Amino acid sequence: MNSVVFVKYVPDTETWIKVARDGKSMDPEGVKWVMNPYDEFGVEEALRLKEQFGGEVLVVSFGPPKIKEIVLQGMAMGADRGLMIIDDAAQQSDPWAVARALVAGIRDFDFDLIFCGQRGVDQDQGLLGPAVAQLLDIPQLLMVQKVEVAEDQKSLRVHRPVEGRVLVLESSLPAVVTTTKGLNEPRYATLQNILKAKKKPLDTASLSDLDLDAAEFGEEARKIKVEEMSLPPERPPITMVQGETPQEAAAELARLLHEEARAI
Amino acid sequence: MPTYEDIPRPIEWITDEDLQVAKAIRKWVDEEVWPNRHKIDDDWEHHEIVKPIMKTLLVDIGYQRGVWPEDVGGLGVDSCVSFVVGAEEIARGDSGMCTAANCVGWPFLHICLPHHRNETLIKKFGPLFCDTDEMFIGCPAITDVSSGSDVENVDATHGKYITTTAKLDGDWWEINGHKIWCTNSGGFADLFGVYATTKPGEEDDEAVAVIYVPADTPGVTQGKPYKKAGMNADLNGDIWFEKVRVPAENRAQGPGLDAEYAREMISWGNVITGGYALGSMNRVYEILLDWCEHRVVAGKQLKNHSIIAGTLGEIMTMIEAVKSDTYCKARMLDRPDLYGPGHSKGMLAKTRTTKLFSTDALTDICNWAVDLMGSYGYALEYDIEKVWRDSKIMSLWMGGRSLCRLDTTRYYFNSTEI
Repeated sequence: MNSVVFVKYVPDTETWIKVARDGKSMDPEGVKWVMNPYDEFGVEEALRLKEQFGGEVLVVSFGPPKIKEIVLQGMAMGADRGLMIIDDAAQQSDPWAVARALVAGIRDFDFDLIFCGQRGVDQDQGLLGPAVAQLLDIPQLLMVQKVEVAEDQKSLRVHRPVEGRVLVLESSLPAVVTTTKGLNEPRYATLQNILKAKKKPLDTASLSDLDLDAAEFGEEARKIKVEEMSLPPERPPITMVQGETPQEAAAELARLLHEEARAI
Repeated sequence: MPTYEDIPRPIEWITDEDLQVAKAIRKWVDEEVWPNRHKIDDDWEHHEIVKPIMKTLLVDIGYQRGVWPEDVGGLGVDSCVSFVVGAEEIARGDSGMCTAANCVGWPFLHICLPHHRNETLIKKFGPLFCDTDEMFIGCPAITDVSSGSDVENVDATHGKYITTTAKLDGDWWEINGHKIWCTNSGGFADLFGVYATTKPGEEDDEAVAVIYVPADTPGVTQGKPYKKAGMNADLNGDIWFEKVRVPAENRAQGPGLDAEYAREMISWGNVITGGYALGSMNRVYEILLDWCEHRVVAGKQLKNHSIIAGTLGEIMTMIEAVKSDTYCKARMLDRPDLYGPGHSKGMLAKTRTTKLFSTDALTDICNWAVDLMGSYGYALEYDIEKVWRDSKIMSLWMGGRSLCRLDTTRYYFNSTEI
């Protein structure tokens, strides 16, 4: 059971986001970068399948040189090898372009499953998984919370939450699975694996190494253009409900909701 | 907004692996340590909460394998910079846990550092730490009940005031003595590194012996943990050795060398203490960052009051200075080819200044932070009081502030009568 995990470098969700001077991108100054948390679920699931069935786990990322940190993180968690597709043209590439680069990167790897997060916590588009599946013409199973691979390793069954219920889907392999919260609890990178990662294969490629034209990537080649970026409006001040007793406070809360917020 | 990671340190000395270790420890701190911070003090005696958290670090993440060579399943970490990086992250969560975790391996620097490995003892004890799914706890048994920091005052006392004795009887050492304040004692330890003398009352480096004693050896008794003002994730207690017999091969190196490498162990301890202090400072910075951002007085955020801003600037200057000095000395210990061996009197003095400066700075920073937060700083729920309470003992251990000054002056002024 060979798995690929696509991992993305994204701003830490606790970082303070500022809009850049161009008014349509994020100011990178002072931003902390981490592996997309949804991708961590993918790494963990791939490792669990490897432990169950054997095989290899390949972690792949596309971006600037700093993606090395998250590829190494995947290898430190236990992945067998890494691939960094490093190219200046990665900046501002849209999900379709990113998918093309990633798919080109794994063309020589005999995989059964591809994992990626159901969305990046940076732009929240959720397009990478479907784009990869489209390019490879294989099934896509999105927002998955449970993965069960058949004993013969030829098919899988997944659980996908929908509107308070669970959709159970079956698919042949190979397939693309996008991962979401609840799938698993990602393991700690162990010191032993961190040191072992030094000796594992870590390859680097540029777009031209993958026979791709850099002109088809980056801001100019985007099919989805960002026209403007702005922060959400500041929340109005909080009203603390007063009352001598819980009953009084509840009555005051009901009055505020009815008369001022007009919510009830 | 910057974070503690933006406080400058020499990244060219820090490896990709160090950064990955830091990341793994940070996740552990954020998920397991910091959310339990208020329970740790109440758990000082039984460690029902602390032990499972420690196990994640020591066993699951693998910290207890750190110093042991790879051929016995260890990680072969022999870089002081790497230990400082790790200490910064652990102590950001809890400096007591940082102390306990680092003292698991500290007594075995005597036998594991590359230039003086003791292969027999590495093969004997290494697998106990590395080939297990359970915690296996080392403990430096240094301070004697009647001589305090004189044991660590190697260059003035040369073992004269060590009262724990080791007598060779055929192929066995017989050890008698009473140790106090040993980190990871209080019933937690599995293997002690015992500082003893083979010639009681004599000033002789050759008499200083470091001997490894399993905690379950007949004649060893561990007392209950002390109830302390802080650092309650680190257990300290008495240990009694009464006619304890261990094989002669359990001596770390031999006459003269044990004293020499004791000095080296203290040099490393000084610098890694700087790492503990930095981790605590990182936490102080985070607490102040949040407090001064959200606390509004007279219509302005606290950080925008000039009197507060002045104190904050002073605090950051101190943290930057400690970080620069600590990493500098750690790097010096990693390059004995350039700076001389860690057991030299020069390196001892130069690392003593790191310990003195970093721990004094931490005490000052914690005081300023509590002042700055006013009475809130004294309240449990605002967290700074824990760092404040936990921090003080760092300036007390390993000979305290006075011995730091003496070792420094001995070297820089060639003071031969102190």
